[in-house]
Amino acid sequence: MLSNNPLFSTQEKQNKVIGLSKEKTSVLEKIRATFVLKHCQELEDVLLLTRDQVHQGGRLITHPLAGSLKPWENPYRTIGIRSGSDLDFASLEIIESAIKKYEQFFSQQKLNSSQNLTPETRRDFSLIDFSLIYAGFKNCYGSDL
Amino acid sequence: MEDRTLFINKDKLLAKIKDDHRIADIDLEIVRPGDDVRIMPVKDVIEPRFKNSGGDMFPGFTGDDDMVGSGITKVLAGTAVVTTGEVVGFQEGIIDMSGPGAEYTPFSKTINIVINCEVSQGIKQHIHEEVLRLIGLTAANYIGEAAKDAKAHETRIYEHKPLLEACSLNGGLPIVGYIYMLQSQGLLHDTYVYGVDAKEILPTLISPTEVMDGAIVSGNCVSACDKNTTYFHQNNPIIEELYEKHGKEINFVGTIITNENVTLADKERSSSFTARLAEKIGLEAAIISEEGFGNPDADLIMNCKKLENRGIKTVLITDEFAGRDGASQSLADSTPEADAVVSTGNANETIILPPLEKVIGNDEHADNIAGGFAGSLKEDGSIEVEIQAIIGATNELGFNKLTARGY
Repeated sequence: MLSNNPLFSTQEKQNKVIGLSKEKTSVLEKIRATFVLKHCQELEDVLLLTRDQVHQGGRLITHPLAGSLKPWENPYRTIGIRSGSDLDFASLEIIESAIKKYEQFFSQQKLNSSQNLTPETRRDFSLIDFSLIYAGFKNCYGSDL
Repeated sequence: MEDRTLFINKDKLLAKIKDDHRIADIDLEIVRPGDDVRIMPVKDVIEPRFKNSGGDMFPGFTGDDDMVGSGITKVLAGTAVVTTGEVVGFQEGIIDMSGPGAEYTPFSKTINIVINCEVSQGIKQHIHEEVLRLIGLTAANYIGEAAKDAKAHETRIYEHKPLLEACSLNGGLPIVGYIYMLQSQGLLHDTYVYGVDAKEILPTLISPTEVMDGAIVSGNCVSACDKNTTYFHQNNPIIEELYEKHGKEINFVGTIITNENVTLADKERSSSFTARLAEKIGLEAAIISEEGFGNPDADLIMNCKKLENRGIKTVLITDEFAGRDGASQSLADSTPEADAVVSTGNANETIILPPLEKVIGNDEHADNIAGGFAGSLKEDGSIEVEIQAIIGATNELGFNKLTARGY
């Protein structure tokens, strides 16, 4: 799992996670225990490292574009990927088009909206990103998570 | 009701909706078209309706869990319940009742009963969303009750026949269905069907009249321009239009609801089920409407491709995020089969909203939105925003007036 969401950062592991229910905190712990987590500093790194993984045979589990926020309004993104041996063209196409969309909006908006965020808004964005992953993984792995 | 005038007893209505320990403060105001008022951030909009027979509005929430979609439903057309509340810091959702912004939202033309609600400290975001959702539905039901004994000024009859019967009628007319995509990605991106979280459903058939009776409820509070508020579901113009053409140009036999989930496996499963169901019910053509944008574009394209591969012609309805100049690629995904697409506008277009005298909701939030776009707060207090901040601006059910045409 690749992410720049501070919730997944190992440095923040000891921090009290604000805004997560008990159920979700336990999911967070299980995600940390189950998946190989690669924490990135920048959103761009998440996308580029995901593409690298796809080139090495990885298959996307989750879609790299966010839900219905403004494209790239959310400064945090978490992407799930499964290892494999052959290049999966569908995954490659999806991540390439996501990067293209990212570049389009990055150049136009310079990610204005994400640069002057208050800590509360950052926390909300972090929670939203986590919630998308939570919804996805709960569907995929059900009671195992 | 006295003739066409609705009277609301504010104290009674507030008493009905504020009995929840999670609510810290609640108030309501009536705003009219042309008022010098900005409402923000809007959470949901709901049309007050009352069912004289055939179950209760909003089954699974305020209504019994029984089926709806038949009987008599009275509509207080021209009114809307608007709930506001800041669930998360970056939420948008503007309704301007006058000025240039008013042109971009259909709710500048309704008389709005605006419920401004603050929840207690420490309430988590998903509970906050739920509190607002229930307040809105409860208020709409209370107000809708006024229609119980009122005389209808206009009557419409909608018929939905059993499938076999429907398909055998109107011989020769193309058999057309509607693929109704529902946002279902998680916190603040959810939709409910008979009270069930849509991310948990497999695509299924629903009667268009069930949708009119509130079988689909919005729990979606982000992406103001193209989220389907509960009002849009109740008044889905695609369903209205399909009914209008039914028996004349087409044979409108069924509506399939499907979801927009996060994982690719979910997307594949839902689109495959949708395509199979469409084939099973004998569709020759289908209208597909998306809700939201970003990764739901992938669901839209999968639905299109899989229906077309089964020989079912499709027309897609979506909005665009084509950049402020409109020159960039509009969707995050595409396919050659998507050769008939209706655009409901470019959400990145910018507009200058002049200051309005009164803001209902959260004043601070006005600064947040303005601050979200560097340099957008003008000296005179007006703000420059992309039209995606305005409720319903690029509604993907086609409720609003925007479009883009190719020449």
